[in-house]
Amino acid sequence: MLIHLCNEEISIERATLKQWIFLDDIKSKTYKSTSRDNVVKYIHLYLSSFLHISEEKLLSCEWFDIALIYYNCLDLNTPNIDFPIFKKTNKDNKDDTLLWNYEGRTWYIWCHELASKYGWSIEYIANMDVDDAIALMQEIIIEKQLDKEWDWVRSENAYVYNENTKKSDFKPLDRPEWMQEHKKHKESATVKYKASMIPLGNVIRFNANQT
Amino acid sequence: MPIKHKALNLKEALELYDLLAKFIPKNTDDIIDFAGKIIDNIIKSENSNNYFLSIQLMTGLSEKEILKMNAQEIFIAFCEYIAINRMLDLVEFCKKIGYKNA
Repeated sequence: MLIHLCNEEISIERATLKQWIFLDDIKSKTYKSTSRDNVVKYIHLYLSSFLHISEEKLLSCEWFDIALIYYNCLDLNTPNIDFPIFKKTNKDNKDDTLLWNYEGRTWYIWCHELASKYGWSIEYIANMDVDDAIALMQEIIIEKQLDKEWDWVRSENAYVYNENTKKSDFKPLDRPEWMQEHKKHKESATVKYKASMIPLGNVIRFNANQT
Repeated sequence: MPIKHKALNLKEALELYDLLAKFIPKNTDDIIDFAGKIIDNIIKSENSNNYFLSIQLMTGLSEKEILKMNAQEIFIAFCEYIAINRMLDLVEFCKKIGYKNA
């Protein structure tokens, strides 16, 4: 893909996995930023890292050119598949509170998972296509979750004794929101009333005093 | 002599947005109408400081230089530069990146 910035033609290619993780992190920081300086800093950092252009050059460009190119780059680096794993959940950003979390850890998590599962080298993983990497990562997470559920089914903790029924009820293991089945709209069941519950006497209607 | 125009980089554009954000009208796609309504809102608010600061930003002139100029000229330059700096697109861009004015 060719883009034009400040009378210069630049050829860009979709980011590979390592670069994509880095850029995605900067993109999130841009959206979370509340100060003007940080927004500008992260947009410039995104573009300078991806396009290999100095910040001085970006500062000399008109804002509209920067905005246009920023969107072109975001579009180019957006995964082509709508992966369920990226569906927003209420438990987002829980990693921020973990004591062992640090800046740039996301890349190592991906690298660790893919290398442990497939035995690939760090260089190979870093240069992977983003769609392939996300799809495989999702499969790894699904497999881990199903393994956990299998262990859970066989453990005592999965069954809670119900004093009313005098039986143990199965309590399923929680799944991430993106793995949960869509809740179907339940059709309301037909309710039958006893004849004794139906009101007695004539029904008075509003129109023309009909009964 | 026409007032010179200064092309805004991203930082200056967001500064302009910060200055004018609270005066930006809703539901206007016409840039002339848009600029006019910003001025209306500034007049209503009785706070002309941001008007002059935004002109300084868009022209690169100092406050003293601007105050020496004809009010009508300043008004025309303001409307013209709001259009040249694509203020409508700037508002849209700020919405898309989730930027709220400081």
